[in-house]
Amino acid sequence: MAEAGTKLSNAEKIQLVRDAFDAFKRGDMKALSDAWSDDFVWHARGSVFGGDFKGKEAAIGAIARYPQELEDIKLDFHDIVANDKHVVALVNSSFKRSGKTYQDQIVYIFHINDQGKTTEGWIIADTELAKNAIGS
Amino acid sequence: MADARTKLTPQQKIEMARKALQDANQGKVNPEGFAPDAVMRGSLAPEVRGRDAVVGALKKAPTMFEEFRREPHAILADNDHVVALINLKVKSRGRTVEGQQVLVVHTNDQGQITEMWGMIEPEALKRIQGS
Repeated sequence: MAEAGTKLSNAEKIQLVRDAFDAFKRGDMKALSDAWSDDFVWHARGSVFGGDFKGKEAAIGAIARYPQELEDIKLDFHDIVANDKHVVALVNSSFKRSGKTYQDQIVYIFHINDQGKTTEGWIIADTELAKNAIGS
Repeated sequence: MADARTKLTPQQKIEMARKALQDANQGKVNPEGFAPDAVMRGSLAPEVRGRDAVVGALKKAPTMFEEFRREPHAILADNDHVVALINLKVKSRGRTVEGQQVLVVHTNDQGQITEMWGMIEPEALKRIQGS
């Protein structure tokens, strides 16, 4: 992971992450991508739709697949922890596809810059469990 | 993940985690750092319950490889959790695999680990398991 620093308080950064998740949950992809820097990178190798996606357009294209291809997505914060360089969200997640349910604990890691824009995000999950659960 | 509270400050917990990771790289695991009913779960091994079993598993992991090093990239903490973002390096049969690991830890009021949960990025995990 590259280093990143920010002048925002930890509480402010945590709120930015909460707001971004809320935008995703209500399907507001514009609000979600507005929270990112122009050179945002989404490291989703640990996701069912894996890969590294550079730039807003590529990232939003990858993230938009979740509500398009999965049903009943639930993302509930267990906790969010921040320091001067990182925000880490511990999330209890579940979704369905073709009647099969996947349930797991997922870690999201974010870098946020001085302007309050997220510059990089990582997802770390048990990908094989997810793929087996939904048969992808 | 169960909830847990501790009277230690987040900074104290970060320092304890940093020391534990340093010790683990040298094959040292302090049993007193774990609650008697400690639980460990993660991508590399099945769930392990009880202090002796957890300590045994942690001591065994490095012996399974020619090299097994965890270098903290960052350690974060709040009242409920310690989260360590780790650069993991594993060498087996002459082949080196590097990847990122996340360790999430709950501690009790005495600073002992009650629950530890570790995840390794999937591509690195596959390479480690296949090595």
